[in-house]
Amino acid sequence: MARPVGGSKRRSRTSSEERYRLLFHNNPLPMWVYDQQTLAFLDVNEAAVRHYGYSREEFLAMTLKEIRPPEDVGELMETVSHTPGGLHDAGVWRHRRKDGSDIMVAITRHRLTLDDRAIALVLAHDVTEQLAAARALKQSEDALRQLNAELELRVEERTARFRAVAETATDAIVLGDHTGNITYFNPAAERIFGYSAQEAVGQPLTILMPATFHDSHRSGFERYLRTGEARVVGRTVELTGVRRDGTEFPLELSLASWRTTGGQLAFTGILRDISDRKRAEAGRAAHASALDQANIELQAVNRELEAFSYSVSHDLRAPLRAIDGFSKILIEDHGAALNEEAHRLLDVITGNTRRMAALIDDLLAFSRLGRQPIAKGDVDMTGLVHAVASDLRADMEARGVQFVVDPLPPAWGDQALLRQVWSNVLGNAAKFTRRRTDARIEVGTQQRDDEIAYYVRDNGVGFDMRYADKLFGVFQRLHSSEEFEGTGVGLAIVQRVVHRHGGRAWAEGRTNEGATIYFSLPRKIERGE
Amino acid sequence: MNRPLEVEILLVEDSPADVELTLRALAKHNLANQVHVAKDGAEALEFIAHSSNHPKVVLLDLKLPKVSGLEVLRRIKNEPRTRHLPVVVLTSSREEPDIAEAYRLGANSYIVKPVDFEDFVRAVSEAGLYWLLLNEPPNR
Repeated sequence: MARPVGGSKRRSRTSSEERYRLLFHNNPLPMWVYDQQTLAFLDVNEAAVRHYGYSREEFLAMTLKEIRPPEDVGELMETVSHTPGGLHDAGVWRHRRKDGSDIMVAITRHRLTLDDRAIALVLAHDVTEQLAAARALKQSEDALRQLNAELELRVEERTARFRAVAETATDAIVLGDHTGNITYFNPAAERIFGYSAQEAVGQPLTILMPATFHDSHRSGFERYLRTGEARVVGRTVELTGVRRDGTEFPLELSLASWRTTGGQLAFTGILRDISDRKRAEAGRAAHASALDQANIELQAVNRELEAFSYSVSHDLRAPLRAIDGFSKILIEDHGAALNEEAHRLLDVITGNTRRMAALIDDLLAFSRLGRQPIAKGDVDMTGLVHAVASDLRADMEARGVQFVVDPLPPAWGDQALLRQVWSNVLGNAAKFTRRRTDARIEVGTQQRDDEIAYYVRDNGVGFDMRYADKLFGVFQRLHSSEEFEGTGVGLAIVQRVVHRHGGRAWAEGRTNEGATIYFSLPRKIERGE
Repeated sequence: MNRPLEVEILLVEDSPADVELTLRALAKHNLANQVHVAKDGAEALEFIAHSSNHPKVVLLDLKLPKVSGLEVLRRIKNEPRTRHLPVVVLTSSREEPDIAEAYRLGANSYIVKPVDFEDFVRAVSEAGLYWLLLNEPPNR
């Protein structure tokens, strides 16, 4: 309800009162009039009542001080006392409502004089929310600025890290943009391709590939941009690169794509020069194929050898049998008609056929040795030596040979083949001590780190060390057949068996003082062979 | 004047020298009169196919022209009519695969011909004596 201050002039100012009522009481913003001296409210409008929570009566019993928080009253009083009379005054103040809540209010004050009293008309615009919004805005601006700074720092760090990695990488790192141009070229790329980064950046990626690949690169590139269909992106592929000097080389490319902040596609390629690897692979392949070839040849040789030994076995024996048989028939049927010399000559013939037959048998045995597979197991060497020696014992005991066998460590090998070795070595020792009355044969071992060397030492006729290397050759003999029988295959067989076991054979000796035949075998390797 | 004696030994051998030596060895024990000699595998199979009475033993060399000894052996042992015919492989080959294959195919003996004539005579005549005089074949 409108009730202007100074109701006595009410009627004469109807239109003015009406205006006042419209402007003051119906104003949507809180308004009031107060006495500048006492600061007492003289009038308040509806909006003020609504906004501050005090009834009109309560307002009219209050002063300005009471809508201020107590701590602000001092400032208010100071302002009032220092502010000389003026027409307009404006400012933002903190007001306290009846419910105790504080609001920020932009005040527009209009001072005037009524009936000699200094009064003021106040328009109060609650700006709490605007201020809060402004404050919030400022806060988020600050936060954003902070975040931005942090991001910039992080980007800087990332960039530094990328550079550290890229600049020290041994692989070429090349970045390209959506137009297919180089945007980054690391030192390894400079080294591999022969361009400086300065030369390369801005050039099309095609400068790094041979001309024959340019078209397929461009079409692949365009297809990727258009459809996203990737044949190279996201994989590692082997390609051909070309250096600045035009030489081509094999490379391995890992290509990734990403989007720049502008939304454009970009590419990161990591390229490795694989010339060495390719060379090694080619070398390995060549080596493997050479091995295959050698293997095929070896198999052919083996087959030939088999056919050969079959022929030897069959075809060479048959004529020998005929020579021997018909010589005997000659003696049987015509012996009486032949003189002594004829009988001697026939004996020479049959003696030689026997010898030839023995040579054939030994040669075949030797050739079989190279072909038959080795079946390894633990072999009791002491037992084997005694078993083999028992075949020779009768002869040795008759001659009073001193036979001494040290305890021998077991061997890892093929029992049957090792038996053959002992048989040949001990047989030799027995044979070559035949002319001695104080014959002595010793069997022992010398232990080494990775092998065991077995030996048979005798004090027989020995041999000249100058011919030591001939001892193990096939059909190599250091004595005549008249002196000592034999085909010259025994030690060759020993050496072959020992070699097939991964060991070696050697001999020491002196003419007329004896010989020592050694053979070594690798120790058993645990966990298979 | 004598009607031909029944063949008791079929000797399959291409080498004339070996034929002569073998016959001589058999003759030492009077076993040479009833021997028929086939000079290759085809001739041997033909003889067996056309003789009414089978020999008591076949002495078979392995290395033969035309049909090999192992093939002759295989056919004899695969044919029900001749399966019981004793076959003694008499050969120069001491090669393990030959020996194994011969026994696998059903050889009754495998004798390596010794080079030494005395040994050869002993081996051949013992085999002849065994199969001709000691062995009791099943009723045919």
